[in-house]
Amino acid sequence: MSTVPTDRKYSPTHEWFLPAGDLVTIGITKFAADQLTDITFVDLPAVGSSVPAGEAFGEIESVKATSELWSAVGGEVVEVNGVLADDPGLVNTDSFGQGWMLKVRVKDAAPLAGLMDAVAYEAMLAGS
Amino acid sequence: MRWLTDPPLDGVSNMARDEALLQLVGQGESPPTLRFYGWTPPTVSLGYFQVFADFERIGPPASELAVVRRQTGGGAILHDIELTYSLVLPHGHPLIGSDGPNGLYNHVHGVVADLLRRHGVPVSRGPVGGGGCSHGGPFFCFERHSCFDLLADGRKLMGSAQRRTAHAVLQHGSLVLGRRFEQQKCAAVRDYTAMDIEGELCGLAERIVFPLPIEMGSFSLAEENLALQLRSKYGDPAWTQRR
Repeated sequence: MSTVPTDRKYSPTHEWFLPAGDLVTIGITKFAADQLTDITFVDLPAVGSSVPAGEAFGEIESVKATSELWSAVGGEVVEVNGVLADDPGLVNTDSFGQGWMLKVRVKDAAPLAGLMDAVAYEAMLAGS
Repeated sequence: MRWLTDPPLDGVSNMARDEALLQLVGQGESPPTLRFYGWTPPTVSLGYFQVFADFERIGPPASELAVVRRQTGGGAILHDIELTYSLVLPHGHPLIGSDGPNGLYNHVHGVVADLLRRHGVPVSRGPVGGGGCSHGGPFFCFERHSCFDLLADGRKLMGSAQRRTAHAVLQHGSLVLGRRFEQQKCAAVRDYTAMDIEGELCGLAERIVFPLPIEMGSFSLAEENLALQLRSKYGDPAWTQRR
């Protein structure tokens, strides 16, 4: 039985991408959140800024590590999960839901086709 | 695995060299590397997300020392008489076990703890939980205790932090050998033993990378050039005071 949602795509660096029209919601997987342990701060770009495809869009701090956040798609940031500023632990407790990070309006969704589906992502985790 | 030993350097050079290794190991241009180094002059390094104004508020003498911002999180460190290490590995490297990069803390700290205990240092681990975010809590890393840390008589002796990129992990950390500043609220190896840490580096390196072979090496030209470029980043007040 799948433990990751089947409605989205996954990157090798453990971000998830949920498309809806020309909007793509981005977050990190439970596996990634568990690896980070207790998340203490999420640094995200401002609404209206641009996220380049294939580059870091933000950073995340946990009790003992800082990590880059990567986006497979490029576009304009139209919404940021502001709740994370006060409650970054949501990424630990609900990484696939309330712990979402960005909504990006993409011009080119083609990079999503190159990402993994839930089955492939779980296979990657099983092999790691 | 490659083992590098640098002479004591300024904070800008030290952080530039660690980032150069992180970038080039991540690109597959450099081998997995263990680096030992020191600091001169004494320098305060800020955690990646720390606020510079907090550094200005701590008062002298620490606030009058050189200051640099790290790539890694957690609290500030007053680097003076210490052994510093960095371990830079690509994801998937054999030293990163099944429990992921977090296991590297226990691994490196365990090797150091074994060495210190052989020299009579009463090493223990920090409490479960606790730890080191950049927000809230004491300004200095060594006043924060997490389960990964090494303590002696309840005071922190060694701590480490990580930066993870898409392709590699940098873990660096400090083992306090001696104290000269009142604001260093920590234990020091010299409180307990006159051991010669320099003479122990080879054994430490071998145990940290065991069972992999290790060879002493030096920075490549590409690494030196990138580190030189990165000096301008770490020496720029815009980076140091970015928060």
